[in-house]
Amino acid sequence: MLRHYYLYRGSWPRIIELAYWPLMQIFLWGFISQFFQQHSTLIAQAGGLLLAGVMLWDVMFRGQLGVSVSFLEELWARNLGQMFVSPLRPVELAAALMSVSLVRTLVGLIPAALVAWLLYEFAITSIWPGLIVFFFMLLAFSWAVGLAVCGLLLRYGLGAESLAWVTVFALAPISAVYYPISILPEWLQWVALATPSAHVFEGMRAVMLEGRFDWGHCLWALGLNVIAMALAIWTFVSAFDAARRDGRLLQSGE
Amino acid sequence: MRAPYVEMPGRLTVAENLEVYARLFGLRRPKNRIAKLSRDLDLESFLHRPTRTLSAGQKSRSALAKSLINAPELLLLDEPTASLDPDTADWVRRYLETYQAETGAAILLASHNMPEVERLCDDVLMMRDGRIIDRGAPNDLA
Repeated sequence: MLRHYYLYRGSWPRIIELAYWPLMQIFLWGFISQFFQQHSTLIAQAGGLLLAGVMLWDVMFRGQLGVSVSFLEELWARNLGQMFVSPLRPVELAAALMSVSLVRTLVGLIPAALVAWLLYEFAITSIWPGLIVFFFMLLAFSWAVGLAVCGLLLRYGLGAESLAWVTVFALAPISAVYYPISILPEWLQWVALATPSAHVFEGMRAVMLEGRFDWGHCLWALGLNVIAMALAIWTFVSAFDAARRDGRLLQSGE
Repeated sequence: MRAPYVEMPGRLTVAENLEVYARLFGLRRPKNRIAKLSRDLDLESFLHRPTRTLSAGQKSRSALAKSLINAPELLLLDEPTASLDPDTADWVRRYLETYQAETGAAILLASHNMPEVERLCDDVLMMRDGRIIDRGAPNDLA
């Protein structure tokens, strides 16, 4: 955590980048939703459905980047060998990466939420208290994806760097961020229902369109997150053990 | 030119890097230890500069400070003076001698530099293709 605090303190572009994309997303989707509200009664009723989707999807996106990019910073700096001659354990590094991710995500989300409130009169707190559940469910899934990506980076090195940026987008269509799962082909609905994120966004729509908190989706998301996190930690720790055994920790920047 | 040690993250200052590693080793008062090492290793003039802006010699001294941050009883060094200019290399050797004399630490040193081995080592293992082919005091080895 301290290492990343110093890194961000000394790099304004990194800090600006944290809030830049969420803000751009809110500007873009805010205007789009305003246009829809003037032309569609459904979206007018749904209020900030799109904006809530944008912001919660950004939690997923930022959360995963927060883990994967923070890990990439260590690879770029060839720092893994340095860190692991200390008593640091892989699970402690994973915990630190997740903590950095939480801070990065909040730094990105809070300005975006303020802009949504000031420009479009949409308060993300309108989905309170589900917001807290949705936020942490998505964050947990994003951490699981991020840790799995870190495991692949340990296994394949910086040649697999692009995985850090593209993996989460593969989940976007089946997470049903902007449309209900029922829109998907039936076979794909089963795939979607196997992801915690799809249950979160279904739950978000239940709150916004029907005014109820769907405990079923919440519990499914929780259970799937436990499985995803267990698999991710196993992937990360296995890849780490193999990298240490093969001497790849010291060569990680090459 | 790359420093002979594994480099530390370049965007952090020397002091920031040392504090991070000190905390990884669980030091309770890292600033005291960093202050002592910066005096001993003459880091004070560049302690607050980003590590990437340092010369090879400065990077080597910083990396040596990092490896000594937890006052190790066993110090593993892989060609600690490779790529250094003669003055800096001599300074590093002198410091290692002082550190060993003051702390009684064991130093395991890998080097191709035989004058360095003769100066620093009490016991030498000669290796070829990963196998030990000779062993003894420097003066006893051919």
